[in-house]
Amino acid sequence: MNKGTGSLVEVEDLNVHFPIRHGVVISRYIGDVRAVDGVSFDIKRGETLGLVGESGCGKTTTGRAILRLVEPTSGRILFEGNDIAQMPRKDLRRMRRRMQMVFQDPYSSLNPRQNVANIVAEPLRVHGIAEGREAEKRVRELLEVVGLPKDSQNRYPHEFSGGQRQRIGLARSLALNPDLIVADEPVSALDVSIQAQIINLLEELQDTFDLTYLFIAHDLAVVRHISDRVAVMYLGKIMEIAPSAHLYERPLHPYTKALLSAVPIPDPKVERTRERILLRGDLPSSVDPPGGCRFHTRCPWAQRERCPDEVPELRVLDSGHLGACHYAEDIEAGRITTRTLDDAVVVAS
Amino acid sequence: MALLSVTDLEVKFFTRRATVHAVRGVSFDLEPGQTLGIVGESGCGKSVTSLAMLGILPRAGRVTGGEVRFEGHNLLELRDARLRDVRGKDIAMVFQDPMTSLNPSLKIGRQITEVLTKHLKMDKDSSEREAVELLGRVGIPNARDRLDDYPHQFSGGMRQRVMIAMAIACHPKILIADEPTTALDVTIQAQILDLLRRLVEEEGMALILITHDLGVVAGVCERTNVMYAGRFVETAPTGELFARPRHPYTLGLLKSVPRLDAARKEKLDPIGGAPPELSLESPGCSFAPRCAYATQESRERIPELRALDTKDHLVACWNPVPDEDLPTRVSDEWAAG
Repeated sequence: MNKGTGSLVEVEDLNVHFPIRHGVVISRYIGDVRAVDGVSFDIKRGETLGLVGESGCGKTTTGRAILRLVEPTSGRILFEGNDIAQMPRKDLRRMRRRMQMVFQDPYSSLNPRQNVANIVAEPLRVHGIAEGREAEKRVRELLEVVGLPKDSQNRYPHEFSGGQRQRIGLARSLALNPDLIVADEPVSALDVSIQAQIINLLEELQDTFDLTYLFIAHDLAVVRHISDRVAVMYLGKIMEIAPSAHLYERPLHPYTKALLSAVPIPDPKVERTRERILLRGDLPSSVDPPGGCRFHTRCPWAQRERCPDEVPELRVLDSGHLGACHYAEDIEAGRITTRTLDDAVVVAS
Repeated sequence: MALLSVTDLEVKFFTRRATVHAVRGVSFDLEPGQTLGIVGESGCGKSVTSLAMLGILPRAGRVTGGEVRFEGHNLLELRDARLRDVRGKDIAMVFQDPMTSLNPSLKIGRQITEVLTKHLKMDKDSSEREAVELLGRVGIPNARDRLDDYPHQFSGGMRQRVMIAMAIACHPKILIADEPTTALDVTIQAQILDLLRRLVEEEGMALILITHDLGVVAGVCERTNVMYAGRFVETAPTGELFARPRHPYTLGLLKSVPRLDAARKEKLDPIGGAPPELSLESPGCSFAPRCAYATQESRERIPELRALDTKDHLVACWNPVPDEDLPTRVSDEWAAG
């Protein structure tokens, strides 16, 4: 499998809505949390697609919906052309061998009562692929691949540090030789010196096993580092998708601009001189998101026309660069400047 | 004279299983109005240091040595009542998780006015007026209406603003902020850091900012201390520290974080291994087992902080990073075109 031989995953108009019910005796339906609201993107074979956004933007739900760990409300999820969203359970199980998930918290995603050998061998048993000697051999290989010492097999999760536990989780996810790994904040719980070890390991594993990654994280520097392309989400919608270098050098969506400018850079010289876009206020609720463009209530460039009532479509702004903003070109060309109103300010520090 | 002077602070935790030597001789001075960063990874002792200074260690912890001088008094020897007076009034603290540091069953207004009536002996009316004023200053809209709200009715960022309002209520001389933005989203983090920078300037107070995030200290602090395994391993003016990290651990940290503004994608250079168990004492430098620059001496003798390059830049290392190994900085590359 070579890089760039088409899409492994195509997501089309994915919606995941969670009903909100109220009342103890009679539970009444009172609305929906629109965690994912009309999201479309594709993941090419062998690439890493980064999915970033702040808490509650729907990035985790999107990742889970792709594996059908949450049921999509509507939309299509094509894995090599087969629609996972509609697939019967029986077929889904076979399909799931080829896609695995790595979680944020290596503590709660490993069974504390199982030793490492059992944890890593479990997928092999569940899917009836290997048992006994054969499974043992495979476990030994996997532990070596993720850089765990040989004697880890008979030890239990609590005996390992956070970074090592994440390695155990990776070994387990690799057991079935998957094509796709959905990694949900895989390094967020780790200290920086350990974070780098796991990021490097993820990159090595991708090269060795031709893996395709959906890398979900809130840390933009990490996402930029590991991803080929990046999708930015806000309140259940994708705001911008672009090749990683492109997105960071020339963000075209106002939300991306604000997000990037908010990330502290470990260099006092840069910190002193760069321009910051400080967004006023908090994230609106996804139960009752703003109409029109979801970001217009906090957007320093928002216009009175279109932004409050017309939902911007994700459209091509540049080659391979998609954005959902009515005025992206005007902002880029400087025809629209930032407002210094109550809800947003731009600070040149 | 320094506003706060910490000398050889030692903290141990006594548990049934082991004695954990969490802080192993920390010394530093804080000048009035200075912003000081303490960076380090989890378990390095950065939070414990600040808790120990204010006498609020968890039960298992005990200060086993050193002194903390503030305005001529050793805080570690003050009676509880006197110390409570200092705490909250002269030295205030903001924690990572505002939900657990606010009382969930009391209205926000009541929690702020309590500080004012207790420390400043204000009456009910003036303390309420002051509370509204404070909430306004930290950027809470419609402050008057929000006095009757409970903490759960505020978002994470707003709760942290409430905490900051309480902290500055008595115009403290020192504000200690322990990972104040770690639980927040990045756009909210930017708001809170901006607020802290502004308040430090307006109030003329000194700030001790404790964080694991090198980016956060780079943007806020004049001086930065790097902590590893219970000790300060390097301390310098922030610009100098980032430009010329002399301790291999500092260099390692800088090289292991991906930078948003990196000119090109480079493989990260992680620090191998993991931090040591703090229940074990080591005869030499605690970083030696993970260090590429370690010598025989590093394994045998504990290095003291000593001046290198300038008298402001102190490093605890037997074999500091030589010039040729320093990273070329992105900002310099940009400057060079």
